[in-house]
Amino acid sequence: MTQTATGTANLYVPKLARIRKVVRETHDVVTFQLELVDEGDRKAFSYKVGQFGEFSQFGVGESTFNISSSPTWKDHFECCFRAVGLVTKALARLKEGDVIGFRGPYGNSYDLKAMEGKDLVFAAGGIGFPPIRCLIWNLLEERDRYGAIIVVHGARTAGDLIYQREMQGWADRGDMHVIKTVDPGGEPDGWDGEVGFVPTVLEEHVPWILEREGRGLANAMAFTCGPPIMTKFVIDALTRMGFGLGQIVLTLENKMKCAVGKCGRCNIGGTYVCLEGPIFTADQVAAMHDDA
Amino acid sequence: MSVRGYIRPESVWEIVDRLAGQGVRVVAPTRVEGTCMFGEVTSSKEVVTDYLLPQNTFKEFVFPKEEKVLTYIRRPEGGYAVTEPPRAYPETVVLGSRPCDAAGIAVSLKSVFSGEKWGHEDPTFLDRLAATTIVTISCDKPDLSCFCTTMGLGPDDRSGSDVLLTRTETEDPVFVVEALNDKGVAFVERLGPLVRTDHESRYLYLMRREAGDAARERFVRVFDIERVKEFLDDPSNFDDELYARLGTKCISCGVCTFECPTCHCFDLKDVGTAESGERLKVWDSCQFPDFTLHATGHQPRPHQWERYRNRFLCKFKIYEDTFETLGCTGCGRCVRDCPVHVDITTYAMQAGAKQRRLLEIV
Repeated sequence: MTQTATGTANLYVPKLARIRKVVRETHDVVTFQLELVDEGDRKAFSYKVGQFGEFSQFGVGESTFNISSSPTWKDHFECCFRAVGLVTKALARLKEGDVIGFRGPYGNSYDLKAMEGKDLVFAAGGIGFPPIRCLIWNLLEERDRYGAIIVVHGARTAGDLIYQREMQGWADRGDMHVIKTVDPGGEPDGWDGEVGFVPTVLEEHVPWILEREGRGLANAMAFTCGPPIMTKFVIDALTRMGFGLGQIVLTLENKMKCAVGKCGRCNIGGTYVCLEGPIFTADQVAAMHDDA
Repeated sequence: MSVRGYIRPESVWEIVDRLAGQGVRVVAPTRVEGTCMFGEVTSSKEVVTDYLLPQNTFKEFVFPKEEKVLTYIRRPEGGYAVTEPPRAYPETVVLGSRPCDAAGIAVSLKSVFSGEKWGHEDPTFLDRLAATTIVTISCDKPDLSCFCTTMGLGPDDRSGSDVLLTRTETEDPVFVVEALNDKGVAFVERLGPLVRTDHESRYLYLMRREAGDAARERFVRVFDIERVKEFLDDPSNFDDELYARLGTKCISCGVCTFECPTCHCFDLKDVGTAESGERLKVWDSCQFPDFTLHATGHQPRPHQWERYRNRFLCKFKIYEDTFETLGCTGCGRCVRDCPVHVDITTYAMQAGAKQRRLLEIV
């Protein structure tokens, strides 16, 4: 790095990361398993669960993704994205061995300590699943520290459900509930999951599971990530079940460029998501100006 | 006392000739296509001397409109070679800054890029600023759009400046020279005999203060902002009718943001192919629809008036909350140059008035 008056590295210069493996989750969702190219970078790299990064294809630009792996996995880290914009479509064309740019980790992380001894409800929709999935994998490393685990994940159609290869494994463990659902009309013949929007399915299943296995609502926490409209209705559904806003945790993966509080893009009212988030409780979000 | 002497009025712009001869890059008010703009000058002849405020700020000399972050080239064996441009910046003197710009750039904008509160220091901004000496000339004739006094600054405010020159309103006016820090002292020393010392400092100081006080009295756009922040802090006012009413006419041109000394928003953009190219940091504006548009089509601020609401919030609340500095220094450019007369001071006056009335009822 150039040494100058400040002597610090340029904030916006990424490290290089090699794609070790490409997993085509669906027709338009891709997971990259990555490792930093430089050995020194690789050794120095660490992150906390729930943090995010800036991933770039040179010549096209950067995109903000959650780091979707558990920080306990030492040999690689992951991102998962839907090919929907310029950068994501370009990234989706890459193959194993290709090199991308990576900046991060950025943002705050989930508070694992606060979850100990609690029953945990997860509600994820579409490409909102990765920021929930990394947390669940992290928790499963020390499963006995936590109470019941209920995962409701949904997508528009069965073909849009991601991480299907992992979900069977989670369901087979026998110590967690994994409920998949698709929007009405999205179910193929012989569909073995639920049909309905995530908030509805949540409301159908969570109360009885918590009733049977839970330690009382005061000892429960819920985590959600998905499209803005889903998140809103998930909060409504959880509130009807008796969850307080302080027990509901959201990760607000807003549009960002710099990721470090300077480009002025991710603020919701007066709150910079990149600096104070992306993880907030629902009561923190309720106190924000409605600008998301 | 910071007073180092005085400069005769006819000699002030000779500073340009003196510095240019010493190889210093000088930025001063100059004529660009008929308009007064801050630009690089090499001779006092290029300077516009009867200016109030150049249409741009000198922001672009510490935070360029377009700055190369890196160049990349694909390696034959795979992967990329990424190179940062050298971070060596020319020694620069901004001559003829105004207090609103000095405070806006060297205090407010600096607070964003320095990462004092949140970490993440942006070194290219800080290195450019470190290479720059800001020589401010106090204002004596504010126009109808100036409102720095309302924002807690003033025509002779020192914030952000390294040197302050103030024209006395005496029979035989002179520019009193104040060096405000070590950089300012070093600058004044370079001026040699241009700075005269045959008046007593105490006298110069008093005359300079009198001039500042007199100028302060000439402000017309003066209003109460005491309750504005309170209004903005209350999320229930976020949907107040004033935003759509005042902001619907905004045409999203972005001139208010590009002319603003404190606006810091930028984009990171790649120019090139997968084989080779550059990544650039370029000015952006919260007034543009695609600023917040998600790739999914989700648009947090679908209406233009919502984008201007964000600008108003940023200037009067977000800056203060996030960076703990002034979001608006009252330079008045966005008022002066808006093609459809959207006026941020109207927002502030109405928000403040609403908050006051509300409290009276309670």
